[in-house]
Amino acid sequence: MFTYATRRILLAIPLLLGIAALNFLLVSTAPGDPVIYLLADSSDPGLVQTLRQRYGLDQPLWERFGAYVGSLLQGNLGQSITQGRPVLEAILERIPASAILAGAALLIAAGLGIPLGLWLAKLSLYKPRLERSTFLAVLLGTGLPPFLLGQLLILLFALHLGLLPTNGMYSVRGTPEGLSRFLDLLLHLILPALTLGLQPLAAIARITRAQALEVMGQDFVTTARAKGLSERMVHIKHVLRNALPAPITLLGLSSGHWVGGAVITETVFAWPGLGRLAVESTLARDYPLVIGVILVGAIGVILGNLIADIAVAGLDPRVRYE
Amino acid sequence: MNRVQGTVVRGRGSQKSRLGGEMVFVLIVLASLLIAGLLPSFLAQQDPWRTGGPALAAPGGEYLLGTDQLGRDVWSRLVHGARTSLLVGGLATLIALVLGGMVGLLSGTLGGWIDELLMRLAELVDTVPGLLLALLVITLIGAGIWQVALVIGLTGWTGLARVLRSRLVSIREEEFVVGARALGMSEARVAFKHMLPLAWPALLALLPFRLEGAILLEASLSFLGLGDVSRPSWGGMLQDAQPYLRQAWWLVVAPGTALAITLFALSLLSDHLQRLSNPRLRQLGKA
Repeated sequence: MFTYATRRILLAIPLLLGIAALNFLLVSTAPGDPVIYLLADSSDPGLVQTLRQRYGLDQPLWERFGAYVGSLLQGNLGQSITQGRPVLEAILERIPASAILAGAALLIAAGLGIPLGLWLAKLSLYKPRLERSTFLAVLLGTGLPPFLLGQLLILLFALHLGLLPTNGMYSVRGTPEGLSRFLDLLLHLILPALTLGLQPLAAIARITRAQALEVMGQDFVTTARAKGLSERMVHIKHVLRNALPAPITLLGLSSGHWVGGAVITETVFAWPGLGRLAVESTLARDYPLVIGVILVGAIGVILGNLIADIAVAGLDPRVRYE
Repeated sequence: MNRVQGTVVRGRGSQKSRLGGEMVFVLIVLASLLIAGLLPSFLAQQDPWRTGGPALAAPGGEYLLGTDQLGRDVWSRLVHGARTSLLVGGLATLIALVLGGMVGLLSGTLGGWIDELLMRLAELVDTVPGLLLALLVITLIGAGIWQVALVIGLTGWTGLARVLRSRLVSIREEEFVVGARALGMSEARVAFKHMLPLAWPALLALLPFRLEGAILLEASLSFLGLGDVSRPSWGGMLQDAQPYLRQAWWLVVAPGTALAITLFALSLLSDHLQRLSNPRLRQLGKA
């Protein structure tokens, strides 16, 4: 198990380097010269030369890339143009909000999606007609984009019913402490977490259902029934355990969609996380910050995949020895 | 076990007719989209940019779906928005198909280090979240309709390449392929004459899924204000609606419903095609 995890972690390093290279290449081969951009109208050749030297732009591409990777390894992601402070600082500040949102959404998606999928699998054996309509509803849920879902939820729960706040992480007025601050956060968290979590919920339900159906047809399930286990025990101990790797793998593989979903959800709800930062920095053309956010997003995806793979290896011994 | 199989077999007949109904729905949605995309002025007489009407007029009466904050006809914008979705989605899917097809073909027929290299590249593209990569590229090259289509296509080819590759790899070892090679056919001829005809249906079955993703990404980018602002688009309409949620629900519901129905129809179609192209599922009669 330990060797498996170590191997997977080591494999992620070249991937990260590749992403850094991709970002670097995209930005440095893009049309437009940053020095000309900085100087605006003045095009004094001497000044252009000086600035090129100062920013190292007169060096060949691969040397600049070396320098870039070197500073990355020291945790230096560069300087944000619009915020006038290190990119890393701007990013770190936003991570807690994003983590809270993603964690809550994950709880909703996995906590409801897996039982729903199991239930659908049972339904499709005993009541196929009812199951098909539920499945269609799930399919509709998979297709509902977060920006639309978010707005519909705001329309219904915040504006029409007036139950929940429309945006932000805490109430603007007053800064309550302790428990009431936590409750305030919880109230603000419900709608964005639902928005981010519903699509994965539907996807998880779908794959859990398909996998559970496959498992249910296998001989060891019949054996479990034959030896007198209750339906409930059969489903929890034999079907669920064998069906679980599929939704976990799906979760890992869809980490990229989670990042995209977070960008949208945080924009809809003015949630002060990384996704919002990505949009803000893009609109402001703050390249160092955009690249920094992408790098962190990619690290998130790699981590998501890694955790999912290790979890699957933990559940299924066959994976470890492959 | 018997009970399980019995239920499945019994369920098949009714499932078939229900699927027929679903495919009719899909056809209707896609046909209306196509009409809206090709002949928008046939469905909507109003100019989508004309700001003459009353602002935020409710649906019904002169304006079928009401007007937006600038007094523009929502129905017209909706119809013209379909064109943007189709154009960007279709172009992006085409780009992804060409790229994914080439990569898959090279990887699946040549193997060796080329295969290894191309698959690592696909892995790399998959690791960077598509929306973030799109944000970066659009910041760099601008947000015209062609650029947006290009970006979406560039992020969407990996799945197609993988599927084509894995089909080709399994076909490569079949006896008739080995036989064709033994007869002295060139690698390229074997690939195009004997392998590709068997492999490409799997690729086609993925296209509605790809189109769905492309339309969704276009709408997302437009929603973030990073699409082509010179064309009406559903995502852009949803963004415009955000400040007026309280007064004008139709500004969200109209483009939202159009988008949701489109994506739903495409995912139904893709679900159906997946089932058809996967013999094991076809036999079971379920996906």
